[in-house]
Amino acid sequence: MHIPDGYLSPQTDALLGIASVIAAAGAAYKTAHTLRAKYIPMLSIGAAFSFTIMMFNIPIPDGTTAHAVGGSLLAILLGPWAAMISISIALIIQALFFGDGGILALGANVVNMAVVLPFVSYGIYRLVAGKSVVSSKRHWIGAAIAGYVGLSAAALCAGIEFGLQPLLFHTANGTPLYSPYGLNIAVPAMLFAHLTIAGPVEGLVGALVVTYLQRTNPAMLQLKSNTEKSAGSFRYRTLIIGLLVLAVLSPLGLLASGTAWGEWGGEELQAKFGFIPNGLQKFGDFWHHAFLKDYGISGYDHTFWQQALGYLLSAFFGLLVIGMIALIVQRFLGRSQGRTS
Amino acid sequence: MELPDWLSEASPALCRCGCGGRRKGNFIEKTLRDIVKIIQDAVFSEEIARRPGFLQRLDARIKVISLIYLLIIVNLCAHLSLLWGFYLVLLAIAVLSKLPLRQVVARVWLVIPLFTGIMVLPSIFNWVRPGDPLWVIADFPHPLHLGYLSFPSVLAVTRQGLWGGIMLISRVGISVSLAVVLTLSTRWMDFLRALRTFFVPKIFIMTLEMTYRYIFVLVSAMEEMFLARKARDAGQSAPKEERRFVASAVGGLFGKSLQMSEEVYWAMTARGYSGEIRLLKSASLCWSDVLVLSLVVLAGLILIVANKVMG
Amino acid sequence: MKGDLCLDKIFDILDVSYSYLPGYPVLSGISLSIKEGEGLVILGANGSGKSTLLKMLCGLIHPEEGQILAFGKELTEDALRDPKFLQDFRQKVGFVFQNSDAQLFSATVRDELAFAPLQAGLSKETVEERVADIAQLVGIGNLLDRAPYKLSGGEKKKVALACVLTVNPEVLFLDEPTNGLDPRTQFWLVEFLQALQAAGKTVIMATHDLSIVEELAQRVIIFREDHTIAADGAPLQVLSNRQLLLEVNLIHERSHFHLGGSRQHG
Repeated sequence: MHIPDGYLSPQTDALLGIASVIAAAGAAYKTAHTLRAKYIPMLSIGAAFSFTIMMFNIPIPDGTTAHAVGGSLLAILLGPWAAMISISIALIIQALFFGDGGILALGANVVNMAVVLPFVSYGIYRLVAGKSVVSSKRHWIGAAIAGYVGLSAAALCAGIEFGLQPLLFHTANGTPLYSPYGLNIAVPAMLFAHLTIAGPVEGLVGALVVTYLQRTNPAMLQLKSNTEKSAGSFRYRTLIIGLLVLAVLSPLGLLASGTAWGEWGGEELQAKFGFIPNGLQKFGDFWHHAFLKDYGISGYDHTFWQQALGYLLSAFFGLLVIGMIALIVQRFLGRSQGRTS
Repeated sequence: MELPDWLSEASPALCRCGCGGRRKGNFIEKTLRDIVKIIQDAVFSEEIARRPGFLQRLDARIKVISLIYLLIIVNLCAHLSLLWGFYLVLLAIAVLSKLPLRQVVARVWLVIPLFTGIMVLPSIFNWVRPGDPLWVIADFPHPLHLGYLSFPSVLAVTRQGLWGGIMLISRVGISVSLAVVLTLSTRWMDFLRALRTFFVPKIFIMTLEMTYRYIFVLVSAMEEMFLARKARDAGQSAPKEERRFVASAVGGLFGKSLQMSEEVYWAMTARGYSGEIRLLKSASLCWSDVLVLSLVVLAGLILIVANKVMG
Repeated sequence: MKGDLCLDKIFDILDVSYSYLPGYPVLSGISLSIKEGEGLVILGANGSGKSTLLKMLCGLIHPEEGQILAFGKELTEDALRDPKFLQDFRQKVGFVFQNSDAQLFSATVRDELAFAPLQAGLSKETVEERVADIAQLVGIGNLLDRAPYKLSGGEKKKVALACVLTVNPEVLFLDEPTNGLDPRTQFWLVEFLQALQAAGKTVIMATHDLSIVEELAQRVIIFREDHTIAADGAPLQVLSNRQLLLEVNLIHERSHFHLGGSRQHG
């Protein structure tokens, strides 16, 4: 479910990035109040743990293996806020060092897997487990359902993010700029894969680990309730309201940025999308450009952008030459300073 | 000490007839392979990042800024010619920096078209996404109905679908290449350290760095568990038992993690940590770093403006 | 700075008890005092409570019953909330943990060595100078930019020791310092600790490795398996009591431990 770069438009990435930063700030605030000074080692090792459980292959009935995301398990064990930070950090490390998931798309991945997944899972787990004793069946059943539903909810979000792309970001003739499938295809496709394989695996891992802990170390299942007791007052309500407002506004924001993009991408893409060998001819056609004409500044704009391009190109090569000369001089004098980094 | 009888007997000889066949898809092997890969990746990129070269010499902070900036540019450009022009320049710089081409080119372009390609394939047909037909594949006498779904009588590859697909694959591939080139040429440590100079809260950086550190501790703990299991695995275990093993390994690892976090907390406290973090800052930038950064910024602007000029 | 908290007796432990789980004590009714500059070795079988005592003396956990006086002041959670006392105390006391992986939490060796002095509020220049000095002294100068996971067990122990020494503590606690070290590193460690003792540092160790006792101890304390103190005295006197060592499970009936035979100088 790690979304790579290129599937989502930078506008979508930016929006989801802002959402994830707000959520992270909330989580930092919340965990700082519940876990106090101990939380740095706790969260770091939680993140390392969540990274590591993504590597566990588990045998599934058809004879092959699958691996779990482990986000729901982490939410059950550490609580949703701490799980959120841990999963986010694991996702950052995966994106930066292992190429799993894009760097710009990090915000989207964080929203799906580090916000939606743990919160949905935790809510369901609490609902099912209720106030029952730790050894009760309801705990592992809750973990199973939480894993299944949580992962599917995350997949649903990813499906919606994909599905919005062709709706908002395409050229005038309908060539998609990013992910090509609309909501009617993207959402069912994402859901199908996760409802049939990944979801059950996530649920299975959650249930198995909870049963194991019930048998061997029930205290670990109560970590959460112990830390929660020392929680401060309910001051993060504003944060949740903020998130809700953002969630409501986000489709609007997407639409707004989408039209803006469509405008300056414009109709001309329609005719000349892709490469056209006689590209220079375009500059001639530029005058007759409908979109710029609408604004009545086509003549000015034409020369402006072309001039800008000319200036930028000469600045680039000028700087490049200066750099080369400086480098050669430095080499020649043989006094390359020892670099400390 | 008295040993029980069964312990002093010799074990049965190894069966050489090859009976019983091979088991496929052993989950232990698979997990162990994943573990080895993680550690190899870390060590391999560390080695390349230590080789002398243009990109390796650049300050990590410059590289992080450039990476994010260029990723945005690449994802905003809507012209294949600009995207591929950019890619060729990137490739040239990678070659100049002596990055292994097998990693930079083969690993990206063998994997991305496969995954993204399969994902995008249905969208090039007009039955999935309507568009202007480019190649007609089949022409049925009348529209097809399949339950609620109805398809037009002509099945064709659409121009929009095809170009959209090529665009997506190019964009994803070039974005990944960009990340690969920069991660291969930078030591992970420098990458993490670069974040210190940006406006990232110190607590977050400390957590990130510690996570990076403990991934290796937990991964090797996990490797030990799986090796211990492999050493006692005679190939007779039922999937149910295997699943239970994975669960106990995860549970055990969690216990270990908690204990570790307690000990780390003590270790930090014993050295004066009381909730506030102080970190060493990196050295200042030199002129060539600034020059490269300006070149990168200009190059990005050129791409965006060219994108506009080309329409 | 040095004189203001300094007394002849640096630690006073009065009738201290502790248990991690109710009903399972790890320390019961311990009383002893530690003098400045003393080389103290705490011996005991696995689980006899010696690590817990060290953590308590270092102010990481606090007694359930009884009290601990450190540098003439009572060491409680509350007392450590006073920033001035906390900073003084952390600078005076260093702890080398048994598990180097837990102790070395930073991303590089350099950060590791710099952590404690930076927390103590020393200037960047001083910190860098100290890091370089200690790295050279311990012989890890070439490892400074490495990540801890790439170090061998012996190297990790050296780094763990170095990262405590950068704040120049007066009291050094070591939990099972020789565990898992090869003979050469063990030998190096003993010599290094002897040099620190000669410089007037108080070195307090918990171990079940009898061989390092005669090299480093001026005083030996033995813990019984019921978490009480079985003996307290000069090494020669304590370790020649074979019956006692057997009773506290430090040696086996057929082990050949005897003083003077454990290590050859050369």
